Amino acid sequence: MSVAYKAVNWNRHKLVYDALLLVGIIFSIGAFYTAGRVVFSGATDETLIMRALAFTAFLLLHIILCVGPLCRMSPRFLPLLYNRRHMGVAVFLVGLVHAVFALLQYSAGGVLNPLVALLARGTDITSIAQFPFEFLGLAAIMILFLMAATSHDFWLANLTPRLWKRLHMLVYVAYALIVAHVAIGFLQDERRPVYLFLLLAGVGVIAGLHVAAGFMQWRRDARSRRDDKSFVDVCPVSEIIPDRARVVFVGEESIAIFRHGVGGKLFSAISSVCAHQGGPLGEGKIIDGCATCPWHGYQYRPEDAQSPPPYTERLKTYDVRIEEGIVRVNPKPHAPGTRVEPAQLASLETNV
Amino acid sequence: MEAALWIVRGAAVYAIIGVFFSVWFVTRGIGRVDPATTGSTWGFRAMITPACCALWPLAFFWLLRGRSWKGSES
Ligand code: FES
Repeated sequence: MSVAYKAVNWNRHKLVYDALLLVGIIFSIGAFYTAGRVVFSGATDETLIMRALAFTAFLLLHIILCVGPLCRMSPRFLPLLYNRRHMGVAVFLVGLVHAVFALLQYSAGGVLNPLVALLARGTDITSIAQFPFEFLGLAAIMILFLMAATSHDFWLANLTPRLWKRLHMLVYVAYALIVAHVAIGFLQDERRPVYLFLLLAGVGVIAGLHVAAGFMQWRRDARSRRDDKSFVDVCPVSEIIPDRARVVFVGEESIAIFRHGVGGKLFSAISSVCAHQGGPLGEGKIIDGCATCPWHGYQYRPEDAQSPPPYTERLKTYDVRIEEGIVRVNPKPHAPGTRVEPAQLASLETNV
Repeated sequence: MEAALWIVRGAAVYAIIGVFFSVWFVTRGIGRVDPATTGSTWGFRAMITPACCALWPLAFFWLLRGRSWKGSES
């Protein structure tokens, strides 16, 4: 029994979210264009649309970068986290249309291929007026493409979660490139300081949220070190979708913390490495009450990591706890097949 | 100017190889890399094609090893 990949894992919530995202994008482009007619009175329609697309992609990127720290600070923002991938793909698509518009507007019309014309344009990195800020945008769009194109679960599974995560951390590089692209591009054209202030405000919000979330995490870690050194924080309970798992790597251990039981109230930690052929068990689902490997469907009971009879496969189990809405696991394994009482969600926490 | 031309040509060749490789990979080779793709939809295969075009040397490497590098069925 294996869980086949789908093109997009849509459900009702994701459809509503995507519809809102689309409406938001259209509204943002329309609002910028309309306001731009007044603010940039000399600009052509093409320039305004190009800037509206850039503004919208940049705004979405800010939202994306705020989601991570906000979720670490409060589980209320978690619905945004579950849908972040679609927003990431939207940033790339809107950014791409902006890039194509810009390329056609500034580099097409000559005898040269527009890309060659862009790359061959005279540059001088010592002067703002001559700085090739388009290259920064081009590099950013290439990173965003790589991230959008690998956002499917297939790539998460085959690049391995660790490498996939590293690849997707490049979003910060893309953000820095875009900030420089916008700052230099604007400085070549615009003299009004208000835009620079807006840009700095955006950077300030992102940096501030990251520092605040990092500080909260540091305090939590310090507390858990004081309380009990043997357990490590995994994530807020609400980050684990019922009947799914969160995988953590601690030292040599790859641990899947499954959320199971009626209403997703139970949490059990078992090895994420399938006994069959080393498949990524933590990327599987709970099916018929058992953690089910996505590769060939081997199943394990979450409480004792044993395959139900007549099968005999066993995996290592781990102690797991829930404290203040945080799932915590002890990375010291029990012998394969050892029963561990699942951590139970108190009723107050079930809706987070 | 000459350098720009060669960069664009190089990228085009890389992308064209990627397109041909990806068509074969998503229709046939992929099952050798990830058995969970057996029976998956055409929508899914279309969805992973752009990254296959970009990362085709990596997918090719997976195929050469006969399985995905994290360890899959042999
Ligand atoms: S079922 Fe085959 S690797 Fe898990």
